[in-house]
Amino acid sequence: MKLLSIKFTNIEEEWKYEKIELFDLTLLVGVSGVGKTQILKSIHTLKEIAGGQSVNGIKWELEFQTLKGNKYLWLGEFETINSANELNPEFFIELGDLKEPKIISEQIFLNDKIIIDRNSEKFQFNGNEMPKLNSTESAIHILKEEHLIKDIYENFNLIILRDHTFKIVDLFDLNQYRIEKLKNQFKTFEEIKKSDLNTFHKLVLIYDVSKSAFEEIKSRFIEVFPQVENIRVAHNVINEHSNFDLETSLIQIKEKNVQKWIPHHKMSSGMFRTLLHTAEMYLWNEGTVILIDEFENGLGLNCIDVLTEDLIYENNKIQFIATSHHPYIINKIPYDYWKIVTRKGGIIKAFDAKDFDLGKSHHDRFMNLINHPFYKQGIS
Amino acid sequence: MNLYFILKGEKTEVLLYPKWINYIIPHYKQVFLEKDVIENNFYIFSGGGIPSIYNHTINAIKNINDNPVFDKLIVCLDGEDIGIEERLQEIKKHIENSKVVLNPKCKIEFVIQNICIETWFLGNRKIVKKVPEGLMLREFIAHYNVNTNDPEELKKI
Repeated sequence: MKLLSIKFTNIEEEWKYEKIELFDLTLLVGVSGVGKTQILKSIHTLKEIAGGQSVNGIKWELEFQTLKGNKYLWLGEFETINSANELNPEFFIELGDLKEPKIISEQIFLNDKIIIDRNSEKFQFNGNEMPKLNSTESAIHILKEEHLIKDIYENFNLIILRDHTFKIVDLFDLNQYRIEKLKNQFKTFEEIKKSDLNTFHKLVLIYDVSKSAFEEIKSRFIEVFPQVENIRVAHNVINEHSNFDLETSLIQIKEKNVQKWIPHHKMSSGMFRTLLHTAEMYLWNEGTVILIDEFENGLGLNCIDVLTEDLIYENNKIQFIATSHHPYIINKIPYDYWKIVTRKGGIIKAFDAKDFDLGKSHHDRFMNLINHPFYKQGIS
Repeated sequence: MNLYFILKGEKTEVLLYPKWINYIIPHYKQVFLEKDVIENNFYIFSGGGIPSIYNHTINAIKNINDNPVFDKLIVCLDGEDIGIEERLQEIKKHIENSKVVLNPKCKIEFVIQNICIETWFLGNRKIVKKVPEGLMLREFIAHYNVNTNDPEELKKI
């Protein structure tokens, strides 16, 4: 899918942002605390709502286009349930007391024609009155089997919030990811690509299923790390300490002048991330929307260069929405893709950098920008 | 007359210089983009620290040559532990090596702070408490008391 614009209000937390138009690559820049991460998280929240979650006190307007080329506008609002004691963290509330917020209103327009019109009194789908349906779930989730809605529901699954903090340990396979089982399930490169497996598992699978794709990823990776001469996948079954067979898949690299192969959990985090990034470029579905917070995290300059290039050039069928503080990254990404984020109290605004005439200067554009009070006083 | 400032620091200098300029030449107005300079304006570019500020200085010279409305380029740096003279030679050499020559209509001036800009503030007796509350500050005073000694003579710990 492609996200075209978003407007979001969090009534409960008292913040909102005005309509932000999104590009194929949108780079959110701004001082710490202006709300860049909130923007990414709110997009991800909408994915969760499309997946059936109830979220307290929010209101949104999202324009998007699905892979089939249909344009939608999705508007909605959840009721706000004020916590009895705002100092109590949510996990203190006993399950029995937990009241799921209801949807107050929801509308979906397909190419300007209304297909969902719903409030606390009525629920109309494509002009037909519907019986009483679950009031805490979005229409997208409730009607996901319906022909008209299926396309929307499936497209929301293409939104990925990339979390760099995941533990490499999590990538060890438990029985459910037993490689033979996966190989039976996904037999071709296309099937693997379309699957909702994570990049690690996709990469492990294509090692056996599609040698040519694996070779391409390998050579791209070696371009960044010329000290690496080979990459392979190894499977290992551990059953020493339990009655279960614990199967692990390891991605190993062989460095020049180093005898032993290095497994992925012993690689540098920047190297491992670069490997996954590189693989993602080949293994992601068309129409994936990737939300990346602090693109630079854990990446050395050698990786940043290549990964930034990939963002700009390699993926016209994938949409990236990223945040960064790193001048090197920001300067590498064309000015036209920057959104300068500012915040006044609870109101976040994102301006197109290209509308902001910096004039001609030999200084880096980002340096010019950070010398401007508009950027420096990002929060007021 | 228009002035172009290059400041090493991103925090102290950018607060200090506009106030200071306003005090000395109150009829000068700050602009925030080079292109907005008309008459009696000053533009401040800061950031990056040493040595990246050296390259910013070269870029500033190129900007001034492209748009010759500036009369003075004032480069403000810290002497730090290498001292005023050495820092001055370093920046001059960097400009010379770049082969970028400032147009003769504009004059370049260097302001090298002895140690750093904050050293100047330590000379202000109203700022420095005789018996500070913080343990770290007490330690510093024990090392070198700026109330009784010249802060610019301060030596490294």
